[in-house]
Amino acid sequence: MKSLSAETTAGPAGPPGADGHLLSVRDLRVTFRAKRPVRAVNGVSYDLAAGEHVGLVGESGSGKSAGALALVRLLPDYAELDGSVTLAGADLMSLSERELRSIRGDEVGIVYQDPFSSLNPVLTVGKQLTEVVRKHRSVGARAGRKEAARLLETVGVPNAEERIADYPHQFSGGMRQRAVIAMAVSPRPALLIADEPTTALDVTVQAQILELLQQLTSEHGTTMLLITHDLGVVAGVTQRLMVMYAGRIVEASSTEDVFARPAHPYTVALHRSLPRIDTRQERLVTIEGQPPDPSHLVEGCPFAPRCPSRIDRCAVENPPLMTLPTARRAAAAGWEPLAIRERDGNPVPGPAGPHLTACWNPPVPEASSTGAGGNG
Amino acid sequence: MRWYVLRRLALVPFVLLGMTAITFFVSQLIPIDPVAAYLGGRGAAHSDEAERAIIDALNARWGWDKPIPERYWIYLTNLLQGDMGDSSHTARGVSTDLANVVPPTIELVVAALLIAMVFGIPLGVFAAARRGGFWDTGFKVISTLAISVPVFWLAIVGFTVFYGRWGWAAGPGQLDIFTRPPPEVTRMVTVDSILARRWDALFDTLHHLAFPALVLGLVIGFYFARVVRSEMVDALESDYVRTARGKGLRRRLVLYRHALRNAVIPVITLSGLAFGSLLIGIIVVEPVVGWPGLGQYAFTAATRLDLNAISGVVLVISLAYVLANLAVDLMYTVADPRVRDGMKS
Repeated sequence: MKSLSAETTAGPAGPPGADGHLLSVRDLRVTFRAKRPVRAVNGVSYDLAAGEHVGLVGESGSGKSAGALALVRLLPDYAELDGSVTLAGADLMSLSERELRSIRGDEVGIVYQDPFSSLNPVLTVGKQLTEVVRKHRSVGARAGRKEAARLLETVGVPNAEERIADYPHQFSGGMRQRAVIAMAVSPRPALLIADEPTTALDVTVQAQILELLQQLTSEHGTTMLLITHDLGVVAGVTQRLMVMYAGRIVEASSTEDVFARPAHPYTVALHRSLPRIDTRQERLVTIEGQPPDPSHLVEGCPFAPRCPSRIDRCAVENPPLMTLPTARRAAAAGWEPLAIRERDGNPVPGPAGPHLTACWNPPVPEASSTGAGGNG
Repeated sequence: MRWYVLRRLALVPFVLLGMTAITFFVSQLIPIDPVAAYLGGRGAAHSDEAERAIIDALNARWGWDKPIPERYWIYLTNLLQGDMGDSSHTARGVSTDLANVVPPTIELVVAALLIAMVFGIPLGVFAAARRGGFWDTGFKVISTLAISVPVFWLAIVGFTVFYGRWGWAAGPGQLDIFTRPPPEVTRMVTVDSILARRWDALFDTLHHLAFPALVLGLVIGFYFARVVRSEMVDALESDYVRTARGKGLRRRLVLYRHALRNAVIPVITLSGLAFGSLLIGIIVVEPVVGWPGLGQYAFTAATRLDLNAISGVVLVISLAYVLANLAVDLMYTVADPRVRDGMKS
């Protein structure tokens, strides 16, 4: 994996949307209808600039996948969506299903978590690739197949000409994920959502897949939203990180910042739980407790029950996303959300934005023993 | 793959041997003298002496006075030579009878299965695509009704109404009495009509075929539709359908190419089972509408204790069932590439 370098610092490049961002998400909420509604995503806002690679990190159930698939409304019927999603000026929440079809695939490509279930078992890989090619531009069946083989070759599947006649079960996990990636990038989408693309794969294959994603998105200036629970995965690939917990973004900044100066106790705990080579550990470090049940409303900060730097205020008031200096003073000064807003404005994680945290008592950088992460 | 088929085919004679043993020994359990059953009403009409002579002649031919295992042996050796004995109610050889009644039944069964698929599969897709909606609920109610209605009742009531009252359905038989039958080749009138380019006969026989085929086909079709619906509901929630939708494919492609291709695989198994219930269905439907097939033959044979005919019918039905199951397994390999590869290794 490549190391972080200075030139990858994010900056809005080529403003396709009205406000200069490729994607703007405001107050996105996803609720799964059930006897007790499951609030998977609770008001998430962020901006993505064209060409940047942003990581969305959190443990299972934190709402990161639901939040990402909600962008193109690719969730089951029983999911209720609220908020606004603007992609290059188009409001995806108000488009009809038919209009959305020209966005899906063409503008937004998706790489899914489990390549063993995300490909259709009874159709050949070639067929599943060809239908993407032929949807995007009108070519004949033969030309489509040829293009499919070429695509499969670009993602590093050997003997692509022959292998397009294979069914998914004849592919290894890594090869399947390569095929899924080929389908996602073939129409040259502006945004690529990679939803835990390496989670189901062998460790040796993970790095190759990440490298492939990195290479393909950089080649075409594609924006990538990389979703993962593994901090090691995002370290070398992304410029910015957003950390999610219980359906909200709890910390956001440049990848460097989040690794070097984590400003939310949850991020600190995530770092601690990464196994390290340089210090001898008797046992792996875990985060005590369980994430909150998303079908229960909790008062106060959802991380408070597991939080080592919890203060009294955490139990009663859920901290909003604040800039770091504000957060450091807010609890002590007893600021109300209104006063915080007056000071910070309404901070939204975005390119070149300040370091944001949703914590009343952000950990002091010196106190955290973590360095610059897995391979910084 | 080829070895698999050969292995399955090699098993067929053993299955049939088992079936002959079961039907033979079970029919021996019926507390009835086979000679008396064979003669039926005719037996009593003769004097004792004449009857003795007839009985002796029959015993000499069939060995009905011999011990049971020996009778079974005689039955088997005759069977191998194509002789299934004589039917007491038609007074012809059972094998001759079967050659006449099996082709019309093949027509009926094939037509019913076709109707069931053409009607049931899209209906299941339709309901699954509107899951929980008005049409889906209506589908649930109607399909539950359709499946719980006994086929013989449906046939009787339907025939009374559609033939007896409104005259839409055709009457008994395969052709109108005024229609000249096409030359016999396969003894399936539809096929023979096509072979002889007799379109009038084809149209007429399809008219006769329509009612019994619809009665059998609709009931099985609703059964198919329910299975397709539940399989489609699962498929529509699957990851690969999400992938297909994520590609921005048209709804029709997502439904039929991606979801249905997976959802029909269990329908293949179901058609094997449906085939079994069809074979029962013909026995109750054919006599009602007067379709001159295996079902009617079996019905008459059973009501008249025509033991030879019953054994012949059972043998034909078991053969059909074995072949149908083989066909189901082969279709599986076509529909599901994973099964195909599993058999290569």
